[in-house]
Amino acid sequence: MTPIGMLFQGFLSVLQPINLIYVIGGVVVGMVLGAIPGLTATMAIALVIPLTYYLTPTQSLIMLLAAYNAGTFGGSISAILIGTPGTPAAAATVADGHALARMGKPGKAIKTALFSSAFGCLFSSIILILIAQPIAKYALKFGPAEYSVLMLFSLSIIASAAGKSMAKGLIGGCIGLIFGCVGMDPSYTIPRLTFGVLKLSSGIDLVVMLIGALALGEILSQVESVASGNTSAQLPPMKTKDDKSFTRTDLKSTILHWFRSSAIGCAIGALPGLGPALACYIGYDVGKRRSKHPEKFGKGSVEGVACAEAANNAVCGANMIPLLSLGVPGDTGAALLIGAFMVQGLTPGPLVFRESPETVYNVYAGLIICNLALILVTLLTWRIFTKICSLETTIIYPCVLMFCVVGVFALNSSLTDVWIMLFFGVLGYLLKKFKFPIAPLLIGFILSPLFEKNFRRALILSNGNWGVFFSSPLCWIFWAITALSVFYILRSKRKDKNLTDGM
Amino acid sequence: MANPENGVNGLSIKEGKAEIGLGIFFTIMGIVFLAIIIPTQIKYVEGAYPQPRFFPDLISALTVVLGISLFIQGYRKNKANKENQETYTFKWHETRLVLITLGIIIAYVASMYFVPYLPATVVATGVLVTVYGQRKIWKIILTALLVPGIIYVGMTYGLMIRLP
Repeated sequence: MTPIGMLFQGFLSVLQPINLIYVIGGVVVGMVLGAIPGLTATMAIALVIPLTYYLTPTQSLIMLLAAYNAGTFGGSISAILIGTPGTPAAAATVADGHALARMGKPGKAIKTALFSSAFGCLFSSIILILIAQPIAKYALKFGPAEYSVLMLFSLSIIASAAGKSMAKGLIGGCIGLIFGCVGMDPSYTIPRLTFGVLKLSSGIDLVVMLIGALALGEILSQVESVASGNTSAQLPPMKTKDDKSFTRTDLKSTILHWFRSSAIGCAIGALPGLGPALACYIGYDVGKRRSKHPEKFGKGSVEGVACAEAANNAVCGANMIPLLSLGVPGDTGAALLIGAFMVQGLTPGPLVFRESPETVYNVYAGLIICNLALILVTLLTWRIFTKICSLETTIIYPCVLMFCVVGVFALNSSLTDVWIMLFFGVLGYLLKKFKFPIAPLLIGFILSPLFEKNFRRALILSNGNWGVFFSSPLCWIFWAITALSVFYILRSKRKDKNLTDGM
Repeated sequence: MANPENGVNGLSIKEGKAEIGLGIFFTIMGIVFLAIIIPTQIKYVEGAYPQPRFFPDLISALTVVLGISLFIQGYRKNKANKENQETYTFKWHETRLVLITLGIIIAYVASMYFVPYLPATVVATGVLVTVYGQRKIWKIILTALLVPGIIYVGMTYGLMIRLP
């Protein structure tokens, strides 16, 4: 069947009523969690994953993508309504979005963010459909040596995600890598680092670790703010009629920004490790420089909201390019999606196009349809979100904690998993407390078994000859990309340091 | 290291000092892994190359190096500028609530070995909502009954998962 035929089939499959329910469910969960400050799109995925164990691959993946996309957008809701970005990706939306809300135009701001986000994700979805498979076809020529070098490149993401302190980021990565070694040795089937615990011989479940380190760790951090008396949020008033509409004039002023910011978001999303938070700032910055009214930016500009939101949601679709074509996660959210693919018995990467092409095309169709669902759900419910943003944290946090416990228990009907989650929750909390970035821990944990398996396989196949890692042009290309990646990461870190020192 | 000057009732550590401590901790952790944990927890396989210990050894060695570099980073920060450093604060009332939360969850999970899911969760939710400062009885009762109820029905009848 032709790709267009497959895509058509994908749409037919996703548009089945049961699948649409899962898309809408994912959108609702993502929006709610994204809208609650502190709870990110990544956490939305982490919380949805246990529910998807019992779904088909298509249902599972479209629900997760819907949660991911809606979670990224959801962050802008709290950014606009209470001036606090629900997710880091909405950080650049705060200035103009909240200013608009304070001017009595929260509806306009939310709708601008909504249409910009949907446009950004649709734009990047089309780019994904066009280029992911050609990249994957080439990737089929990869052997264990090529994969090892590619994984080494992926590990350089850790340095990029390291934040202010490279040493701390890399230590976080090492912790993730060592936890990834727990379980049976992949080549000689002897237990490693299990401390005699039978449950650990099958390794640490990715979802258990993620819910622990991300969701529970985050909740424990947020609990501190409850102790300081932050139990509710204050909403701005909505007064004028204009606050409800995204007019034709608004469309005219934002459409060029949409294209520009979406292209920026696509480029950033396709490069592993950069993420939507960076995209929204670059999109916003470039938009400001290109705008006819740069002086309005930061003071309630519709263009400002459009630039930031189109850029950050464009990352959602573009993140799937390295994920589907190479099996490399672009950011933490994409790393979780890899876990979801694996849970369904699919390995993201070039082979997925051969092993399960229908799932890939369903994912494409799901990405496009989840934007339409996002628009529909938001237009119907944006007023309710003004209420959710004001829900007391004294109620939200216990609810999320209970969902974490039951979600992890449901994986294997095992309380041992819950204890492991608690361990990672405490670890995640302590790492956050000492300003260690969590992303390297997760990336290290996910990449550790993949890297080790391919690395050792390459050495076994070459009878211990280390030259195998330099034996093909592809290896050399990936070495060059890795070197370039490390160079640019170090350069940007140095620039950041110089900027900080200068301030 | 209590810092009464800025009104923090708890522990306040400058970034440089914290990094020195963390550097020492991770260096020791790496050495413990290399010298004790890996040799006792991963068997040596005769004739195997690379050994099953290879990767964990490599990562532990890297942790030692990074621990030392974090120590040096902290030492330099301490020496260069003590005033403009970031401060890590552990306010007592905040840490206490985190510890109480953990205590409640640990007791809740442990109780599920003996008590069915529903009553254990109703009690744990109610206690957490109260501990977090909710004083309206109807909100406490509604949350404590509604959330476990929805989870229980959804899991048992929706996803056919047997809860403890």
